[in-house]
Amino acid sequence: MFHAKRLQKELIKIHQGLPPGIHLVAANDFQEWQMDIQVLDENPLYYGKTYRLKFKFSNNYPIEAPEVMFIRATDRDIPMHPHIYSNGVICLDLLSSGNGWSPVQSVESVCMSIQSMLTGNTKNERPDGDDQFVLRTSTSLRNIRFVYDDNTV
Amino acid sequence: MPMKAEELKNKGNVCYAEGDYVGAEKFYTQAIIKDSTNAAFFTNRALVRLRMDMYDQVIDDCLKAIDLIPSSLKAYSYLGQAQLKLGYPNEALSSTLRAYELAIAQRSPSVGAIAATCLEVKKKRWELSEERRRTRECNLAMRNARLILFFVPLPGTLEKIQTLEEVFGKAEAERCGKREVPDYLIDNITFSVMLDPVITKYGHSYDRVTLLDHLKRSSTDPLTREPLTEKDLRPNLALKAACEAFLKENGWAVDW
Repeated sequence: MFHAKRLQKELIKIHQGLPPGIHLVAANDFQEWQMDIQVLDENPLYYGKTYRLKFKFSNNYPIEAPEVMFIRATDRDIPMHPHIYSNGVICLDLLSSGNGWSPVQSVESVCMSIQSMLTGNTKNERPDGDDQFVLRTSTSLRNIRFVYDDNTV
Repeated sequence: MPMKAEELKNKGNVCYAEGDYVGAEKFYTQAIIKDSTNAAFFTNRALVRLRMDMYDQVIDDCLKAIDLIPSSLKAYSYLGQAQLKLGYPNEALSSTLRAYELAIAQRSPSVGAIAATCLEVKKKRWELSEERRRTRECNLAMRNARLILFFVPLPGTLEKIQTLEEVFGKAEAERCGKREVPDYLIDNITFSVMLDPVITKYGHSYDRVTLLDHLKRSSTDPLTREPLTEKDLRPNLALKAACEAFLKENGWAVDW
């Protein structure tokens, strides 16, 4: 009900300025936005590259978490990370609809969390079982249940 | 065999659903003639009359329903809408706030919509007072201009009037220019000015309706993520008063 109003306000704030390495690509409605993120330190895995995130909001946002994934576009690939599948699906506690998400989070804070998730990573690899996961995952993220078995990443 | 009151009401409901307000109103009236002790007949007729812009009659029906059932959420809600339409924003606000309290107490699913109406009424009340203020100041400016024309018919009079207009114009622009909402009045979930702030045992305040929505999904304080249940919430009366005072002077902030 208030999701449009809340997103409207996030948009105003975004237009006033975003943290370094985060850019708004498209926000034409209150269903789907696209953001670009860069890793700002010299992590060789991501140095000089830009990645694109797609946010999907339900009418229950921000009570309900947005669906967030990486997407491919011109000059935009899916970053290598042990918690990011090659189809762009991100395994991040913050984005799970269980207790990970909190309605005080925003598009900006989610971008920053994903940014720091990349910054801290040194492994040039995909999650276990990436091939099978990509084969059986439809485009809807809602029903995926991740098992957070590795807290070292 | 003549129809029973309940049957007449049901016929009215069918008409209402089909958009036949005239027909619906007629059936509800017949139901009331048969049985004038059923509050639902009055609230149903109030709603259809609201749709027909018969605001005075809406008020009559709502007051009758409130006599029959003092905790009638619908009656207070429609009453507030009618009072607003008739240009009584203060009365409309107290009716709508009463509806909000009842909705919270009765755990009504329409509480979100009623909370939104409360804020709308606050905005309307501000708009009306702004309008009055502007008219008053405009009159004042005009009178000053005339005074100068009549009593100071010297060279430079037109320039003086121009300066006067500029001064008034500037004051007006300044008033409209300062459109900032202090962060402490803004709910961290909706990003809007709060209507009914509650404080958690960790010291954070949120607007009640959305926080309850969140607690249904997760029993945590959204900011600290520590365990939290509805029982741990207390009204934050000082913050509520601050929000009320701010909206009274800055009704635009409802849409901000």
